[in-house]
Amino acid sequence: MRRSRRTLIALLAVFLIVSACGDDAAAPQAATDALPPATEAMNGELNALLPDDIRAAGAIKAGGPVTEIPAVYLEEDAVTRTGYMTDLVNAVGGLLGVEIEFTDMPFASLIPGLQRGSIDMTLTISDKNTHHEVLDFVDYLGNGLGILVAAGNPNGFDSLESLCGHTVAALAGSVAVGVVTEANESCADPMEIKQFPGISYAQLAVRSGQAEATFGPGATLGYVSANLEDGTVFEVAPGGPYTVQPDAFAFLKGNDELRDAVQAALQRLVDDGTAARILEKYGVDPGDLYNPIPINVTE
Amino acid sequence: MVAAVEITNVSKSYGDVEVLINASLVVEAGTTLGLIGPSGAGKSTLLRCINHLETIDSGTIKVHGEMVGYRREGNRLFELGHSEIARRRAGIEMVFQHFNLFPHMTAIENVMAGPVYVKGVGKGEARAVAMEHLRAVAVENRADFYPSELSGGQQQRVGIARALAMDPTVILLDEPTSSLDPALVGEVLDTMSELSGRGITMLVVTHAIGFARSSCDDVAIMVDGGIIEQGPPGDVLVNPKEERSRVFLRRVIG
Amino acid sequence: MKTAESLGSESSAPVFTEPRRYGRWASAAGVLLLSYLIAKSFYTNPFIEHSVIGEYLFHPVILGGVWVTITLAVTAMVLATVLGVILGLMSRSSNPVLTGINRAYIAFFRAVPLLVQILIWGNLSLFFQRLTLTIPFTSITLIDLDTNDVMTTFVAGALGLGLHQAARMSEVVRAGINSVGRGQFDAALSLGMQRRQVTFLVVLPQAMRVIVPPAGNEFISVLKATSLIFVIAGGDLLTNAQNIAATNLRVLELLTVASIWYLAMVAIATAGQRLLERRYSKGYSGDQTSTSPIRMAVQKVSAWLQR
Repeated sequence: MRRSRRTLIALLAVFLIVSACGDDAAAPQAATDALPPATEAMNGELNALLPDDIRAAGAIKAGGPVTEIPAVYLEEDAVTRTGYMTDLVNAVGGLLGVEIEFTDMPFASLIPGLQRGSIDMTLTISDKNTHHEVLDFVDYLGNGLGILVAAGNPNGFDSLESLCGHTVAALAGSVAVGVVTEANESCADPMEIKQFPGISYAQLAVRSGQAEATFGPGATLGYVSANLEDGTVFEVAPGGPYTVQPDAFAFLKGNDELRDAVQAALQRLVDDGTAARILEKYGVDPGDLYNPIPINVTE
Repeated sequence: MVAAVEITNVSKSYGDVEVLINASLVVEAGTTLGLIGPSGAGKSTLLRCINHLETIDSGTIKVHGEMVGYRREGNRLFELGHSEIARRRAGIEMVFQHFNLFPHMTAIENVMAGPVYVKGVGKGEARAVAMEHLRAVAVENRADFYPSELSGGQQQRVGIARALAMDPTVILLDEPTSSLDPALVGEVLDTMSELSGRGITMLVVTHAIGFARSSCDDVAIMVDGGIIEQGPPGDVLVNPKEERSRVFLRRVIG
Repeated sequence: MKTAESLGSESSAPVFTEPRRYGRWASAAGVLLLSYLIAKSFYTNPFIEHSVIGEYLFHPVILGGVWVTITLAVTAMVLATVLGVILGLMSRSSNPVLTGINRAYIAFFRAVPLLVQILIWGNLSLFFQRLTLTIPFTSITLIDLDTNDVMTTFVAGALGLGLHQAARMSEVVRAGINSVGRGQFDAALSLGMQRRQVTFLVVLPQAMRVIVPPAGNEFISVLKATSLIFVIAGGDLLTNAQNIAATNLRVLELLTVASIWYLAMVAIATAGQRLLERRYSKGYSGDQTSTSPIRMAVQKVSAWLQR
């Protein structure tokens, strides 16, 4: 009898330990790289728009990967975050009077992160109308898609139709994939579409000949073609821009207060020209900025 | 007449340790020689050199006039290639202290292995012959059993059958009963005695002095890496010439 | 004189009875309860939409991913095993050239991360634009191929996974061969067998007993490592699931779909491993009675029903 009592106690202990463990495997690393922007001072009016818990915490938690050149990426020291999305969101934080706490997370972790509250907003999910069941987007840049090819455009691509019968690299799960898949349906000679996890892998494929073109966001393609080895490796094919894949900050649906606060701050940055300056610094055309800043523009 | 096994001045060292020191031994064809001596004298090593499981440093070993592991060019001896050595091993078979049956094969498959894979005999024919050999050592009712299902004595008898299946001219037995339960030793010794009467050359390393006395044509005593006595058992065991032989025999016989 | 009501019959021998294992029943109940509670907490999680899991479980893109995962893993494992046996045998050679090749191979292919290996094979044309095989000092060309035509994602993945895995399998094979006693070599050699016969007829069959369990483990690792082909736009199960999730944002649901398929594949692989283990244990005694809880439960129930 003593043996079974000991067994029951051991089981009970195991049970208690398991249920005491929370759902988090590991807390996200909060890299506080927010720099106080030198553009705008804290605006009390905007600060009042924030939900109480964020205002009390003094910080907005933003999640996204650090491999999206030129939107969010690391400087050469491999520590400092930079990129136009980074600078924009820091400016927003400055106006709202809070810090931005960045968390480096891959795409797959972003939605679960929003759902359990470890982040308040995402930086790199583009606005897609299929997402509107789950997310609200504050859009700021009408980023048109384009075609990136090897310097000299050997295949002479100039339109989506011209890609038929060729191998096209696109970023996995992006709007670009959907667009080029749809175009493929009207191709007599079908395209082979290869989905890569990031722009660095996609452009490697074009260089090695595994793919003949990359189809993706214009800002990224423009940056790569202009900067890689002084612009000698790639060029953007003529005939763009195609469907717009808007850059936006995304929030879990129902988070209206925070969403509206960010929208208001972004509008202020567009009005006083700060947003345009930030984009120009990274070679992105400020003419694509939305004015006024919409919500869920792809509805 | 060429002797079956002729060992001449063989020496071997493992690093600094000298295991065989100018050992010489002659085994006449068709006879049974018992090799006895204290542990560590080098008896097993000498046996293993005969079929080239071990190399030698100097001297020669000839089986029916031919060297197993080496060829001679003028005054130099070169070790032969593996496939040639394998061929020369064909007429020499070995029975081991720990049986060394192939555990993933049944008893009869063990006995068939040599004829089928080395001699190229067809499986049907090999099976029939193997059955005969198993019958000769009285293990035929265990033919389809695995070694793990056999007693030690049965396993060793299968080992003897496996050696016989290759129709050898020379059989080397390395302490064949040392791992056996005393109750099972007798059946194996009986099998060996019966074999020695058949005219196969047998060289047996053994601690069973009784077997040496009753079933061997010759007995040799090996001490400290060398053969110090060789002769009929009636001479060597009763009236040894060497003092070291007397010391050894006193210990084992009393 | 004992009466009829007294316990036990004086004329029969005592009967062997199985002890009532109360501890076991209690712990079994505890484990089942724990499992139920964990499953329940997953099932009632408000963030997981179960209809989506059902919708995608047999989706053609997912099924395509399963097929790629299985075929890629099997191809890589076959390559790894054949190469691993060759390398393992090399490691025991007395020829220093062979042992040197073995050591260099293992050092390189075990060290470089698998992701990097796959990336290099997939983009091999950056290094070699054409793959040619010519006879030296002549102009006879045996093979001349465009690298990109040869290096499909499947070929690149199979090479990357297979060559990396061969380094690991070589060590497994080496351990297996080492486990075969010296006496087996002696017996086979003294029968007059050539060395190749000794290896394939005597040593390897015995070594398989030691090789199969860790090899089974390695296969399961390879099944999961196939997901690394995402980096060359490969379409294995996990990559396809993640790509779907990137479009519909149903991350947890799609990952659950992928996990269900991985569980199924690994269960089948494990069953196959057990079959192989049993096949190579022929002739080895030892307690072979299995204590599988399912089999014992079935036995207990059928015994109880027959009462």
